[in-house]
Amino acid sequence: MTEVMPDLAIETRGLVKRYRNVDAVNGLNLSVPRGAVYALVGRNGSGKTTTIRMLLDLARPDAGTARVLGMDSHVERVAVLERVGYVSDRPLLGGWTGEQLVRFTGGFYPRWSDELVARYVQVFDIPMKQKFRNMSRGNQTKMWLLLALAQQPEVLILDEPTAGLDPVVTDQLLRVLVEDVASDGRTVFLSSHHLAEVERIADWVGMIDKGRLLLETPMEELRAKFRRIQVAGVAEMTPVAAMRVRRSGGSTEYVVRDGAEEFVDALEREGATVLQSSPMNLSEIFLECLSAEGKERE
Amino acid sequence: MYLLKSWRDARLSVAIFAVPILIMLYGFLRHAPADIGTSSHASTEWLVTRGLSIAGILLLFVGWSLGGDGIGHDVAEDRGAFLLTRPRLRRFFVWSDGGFSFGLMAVLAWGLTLLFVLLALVDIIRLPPGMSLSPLALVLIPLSGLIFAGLIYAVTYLCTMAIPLDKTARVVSVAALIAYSYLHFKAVRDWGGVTRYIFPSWWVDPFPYQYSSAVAPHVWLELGARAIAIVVLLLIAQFVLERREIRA
Repeated sequence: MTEVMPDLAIETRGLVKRYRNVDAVNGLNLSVPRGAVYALVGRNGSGKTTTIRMLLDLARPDAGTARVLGMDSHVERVAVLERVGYVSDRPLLGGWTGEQLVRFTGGFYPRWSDELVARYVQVFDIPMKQKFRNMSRGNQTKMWLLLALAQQPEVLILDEPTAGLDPVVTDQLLRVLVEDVASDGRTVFLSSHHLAEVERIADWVGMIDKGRLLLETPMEELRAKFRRIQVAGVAEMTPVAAMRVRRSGGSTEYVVRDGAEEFVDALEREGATVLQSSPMNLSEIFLECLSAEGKERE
Repeated sequence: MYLLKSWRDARLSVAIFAVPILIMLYGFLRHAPADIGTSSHASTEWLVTRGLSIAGILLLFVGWSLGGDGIGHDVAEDRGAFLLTRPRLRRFFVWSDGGFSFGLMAVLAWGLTLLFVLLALVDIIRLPPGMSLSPLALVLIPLSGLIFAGLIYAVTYLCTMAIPLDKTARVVSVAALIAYSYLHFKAVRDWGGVTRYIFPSWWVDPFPYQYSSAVAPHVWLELGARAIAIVVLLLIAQFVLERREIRA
């Protein structure tokens, strides 16, 4: 019988996790396509890490399901973990050298590749004879990534991989993710609040706040659809997909999430002078989404 | 490979165990031949049991130390996100820890007994004339030591699994051991020894009669009951780990 490969590498449906009275994750529906570099972005405490914990069965959902490669991450835990690499900022075995950690971890994985170990030791320049606890923050993250890559995972899950890293190490790490992992058709799922870095590598973005998904879309679509439009004078029109309208002094500023071109045409037909219709970066979009969500809740 | 980790975690405990034994061995070699009970008519089994019960303090330490070094300790030290995302069932970690620790404690318990026998064979320790150690004693004495250390191991292991803070878990485990020991003395003193043969007591004395090689009554029942208690404690630890949430 041929194994049917699901289109989604990661899928959550109605995922809920509560800690006392706080909803850490609140009805999360994620759909991460296979082969994507998917970034889950959000503020600190927005539920990113809790989501990852549930994907890896480190925490149990209060409701909903988490599936990785079509498998329930709790019921088929071992099969999921065999095919998923994980990178965190938590400690490995502190008293062990890089070489010992490689030997230890390799014993768990049937597809472990010593060739990949040798390759990434060289690429990352990791001091393999040094104990993990004595390594720099950057080398510790590289060590985690080395162990995850050598197991040849189909899905690589990274929790805030660039937190606390200098720009050089960050660049090195992101390049490996794009050039080696994503180009190979494997899925990268990372959480981050460093939006500039995410924007460089991600082709899918999920925005999360207070445990709820605000938006999930391909990066290209996000860039194409979100626009900041400035109009001279006080315009009275409001587009359907307006996220924000600010009228001040002699101009009006719109932030629209869709249909920017049609709206600009409509404005011009009404005789308004459109000063600018510019794309927005991920950071700006994120802030607008947060602000819109805040207003909706009020 | 996980066994290698267990061994690395246990090395210090074994070293702490070995140092007093080596010092004692040096003392025996220096003063050889050492007469053990040649003037009395005590049974060899009784003498060996008394001798090894001193080493029982060391076994107690090893049991407590190994119990505190398992996966519960790793989780408390934030290494759970790494270890528990390896593709193994969570129960694998509990029974690997248990298997390794019991193997190690068995080696130490039997090793000590065999060392004693060896010293007697080469006449470094001189036993009462005409007396020898029965094969049953070679099984029962170390087994009793192993079960004793194993109970302490299981109590400590469960504490480190159930209590998130490592230091608190160790303190609670010591408190539990003290409370249980107190219960034992209370049972012997105030309850007329009704319960003394099974619970509560840590140590099963297989040869309690000074002038006879007879085995204690109910010895297998006592050892069996403790072995069941160990398995139950480890099953509870497994149950706790399988439901425990891990920081990441």
